[in-house]
Amino acid sequence: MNVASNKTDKKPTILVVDDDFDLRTELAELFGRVGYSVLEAANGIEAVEIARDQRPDVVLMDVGMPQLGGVRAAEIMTLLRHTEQVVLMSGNPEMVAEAASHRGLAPIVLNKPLSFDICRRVIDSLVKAGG
Amino acid sequence: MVDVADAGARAPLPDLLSLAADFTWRTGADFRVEDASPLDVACDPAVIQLLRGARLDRLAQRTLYPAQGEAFSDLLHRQVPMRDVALSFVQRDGSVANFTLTGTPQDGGGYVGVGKVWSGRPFDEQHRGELVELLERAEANRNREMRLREEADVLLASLRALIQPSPLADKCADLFNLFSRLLRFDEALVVRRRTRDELLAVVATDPRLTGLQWPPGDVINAALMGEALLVEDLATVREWNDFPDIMRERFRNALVAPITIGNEAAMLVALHARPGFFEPSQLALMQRLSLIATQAFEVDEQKNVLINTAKLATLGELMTVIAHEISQPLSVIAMAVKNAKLALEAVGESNHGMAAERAIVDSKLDRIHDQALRAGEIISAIRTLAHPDRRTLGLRPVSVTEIMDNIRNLTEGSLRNRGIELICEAPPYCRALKANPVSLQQVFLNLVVNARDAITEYCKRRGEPTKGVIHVAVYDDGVSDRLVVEVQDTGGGIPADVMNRIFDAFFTLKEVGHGSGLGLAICRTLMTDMGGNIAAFNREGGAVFRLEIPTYVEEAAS
Repeated sequence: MNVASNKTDKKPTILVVDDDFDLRTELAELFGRVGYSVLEAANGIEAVEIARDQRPDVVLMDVGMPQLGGVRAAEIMTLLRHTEQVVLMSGNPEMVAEAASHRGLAPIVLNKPLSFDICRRVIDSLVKAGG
Repeated sequence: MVDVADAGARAPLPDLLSLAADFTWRTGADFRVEDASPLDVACDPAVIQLLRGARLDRLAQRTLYPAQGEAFSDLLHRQVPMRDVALSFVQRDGSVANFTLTGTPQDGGGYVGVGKVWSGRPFDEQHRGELVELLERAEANRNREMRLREEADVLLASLRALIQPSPLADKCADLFNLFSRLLRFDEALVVRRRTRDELLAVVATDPRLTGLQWPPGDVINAALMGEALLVEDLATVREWNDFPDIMRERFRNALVAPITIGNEAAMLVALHARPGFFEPSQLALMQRLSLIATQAFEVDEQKNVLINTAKLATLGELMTVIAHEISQPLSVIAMAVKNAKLALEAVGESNHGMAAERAIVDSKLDRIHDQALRAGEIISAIRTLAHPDRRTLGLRPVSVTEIMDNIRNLTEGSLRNRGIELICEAPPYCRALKANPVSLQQVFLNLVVNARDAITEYCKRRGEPTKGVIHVAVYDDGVSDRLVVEVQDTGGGIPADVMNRIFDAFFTLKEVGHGSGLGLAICRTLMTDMGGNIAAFNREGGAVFRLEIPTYVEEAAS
């Protein structure tokens, strides 16, 4: 009970990464509403830096981004252990899963357009499991 | 010998003597043999005796071989040289005298010549019979050779026509034209299945026959079973009265051979007005022609497949772009609406006064949200169907129970809400599958969601509360190279009239706006890509989708 109450006290942190300003801010607002503390990044490079500095519990990241794409950024974060969990978003999830598996990653890939309910369920389960 | 010398002075006898002759002979203008003298002691005296004083034309009438005798008489009266005219006589003692006469006409009429006696079988009727037979056989062979040569010509020309890059209709016209050189039919057509109960003449030598409906019955049944047949008289078959008038007025006799178009059975028909015109021996030829026709259609189908693939590739590229470009704004819409809803809820908690208006706004937001997601689903469905890079996805060992667990997790909530039970069964030691896990999961998910919707619809139609069971069962016989998975529902089954269309793209039984009609098309495409198979049938008041998936076989270490 003690441990559990500790966890509920501390808000889980999510880093939302998308180069699309509208989607990023909507997502950030939504996760804010359902009890996350939210960080934002507009591309992969920003995302890696923020992840290094802030160590979010989970990263929700678009795949197709300028400068540094989601798959590469996820690889870097995982290698440097900046975060435990990366969830990717793509309009073509199978291709992304395939590309990621070539790099030794097995990320969860969400299909775009996103359903927030599915997205939230996945993120919640990761945060709970990852502690 | 003096006679011979005399004769030689008047005629070119020395030439004749050079043919190893047995005797010489000479006639007067009345064809009476004035002289016959042996040149050799071995010469049969009976022949000389027979000849001396006999008239040649009479002699010819008495020969054992009448036809030869007649020819001999004709020869004599036209006074042309005789070459080895063979004669056979029965003598009084029953023995037979055989000899040939060779001679030249004389200036004053009559002949001078030599003769040869031979023993052995007389030149008789049996001999003639044999000769006639030989001649007939030679003639028949010549005819057969001509026919074979003609057939070879036609087949060769057909092959040439086959490889011409012309439209199917032109190609068939060429082929039928060539075929008519061998079969002499009035008209010919190809009949294939359009829908389940409709058989149409898709190609015909007479354009008026194109599109003709061929009635179901014995003829088509035999052809679809792969049997070639000769219909002596069409009026005697059961379906005669079902034929259109244009057929019944013009044709009575038919040769029918099965052909294959794509993977589907069809038939080639040659028609003739006169009953019994075609012969049973022409069936073999008809079958050979049907093979050529099959090829023509095959080439055409392959071309269609190529065109479709090319189209799909372009469509796939387009769809990838669209999926990315449109999914982004759709995501934003969905998220924004969700935000608005959550904001509204937060407001609602503090302000109870506007409950009715809030409910309306709430429902509208729900609708916007759902529609945005639906648009997104359609886009990703089309992309999956059309994407050319789908094949590059690797096949690897996949545990079917793992996939089933995933599906259970994904669908449990929505199924429980609707009062539908999901039962998953698999043998304890199930072999791994060779598949793409993402594709396979999508197939399972599509089937379960379809089953769910079918049950919901079914209960709604009967005015009952939604209740049902979806049964996912895995069968592993441990022997074959495939695993069978069946997804069965209690949703009343698939109507028989649409059974063969359910895997077509954009075909749906769901209400307008509730299904893209792509789910099963995608399932089939994905299954085919993985080397598997999907089929549907009804069982115990529900639909069953049966998947066959290849099992994973460890590659032998080399």
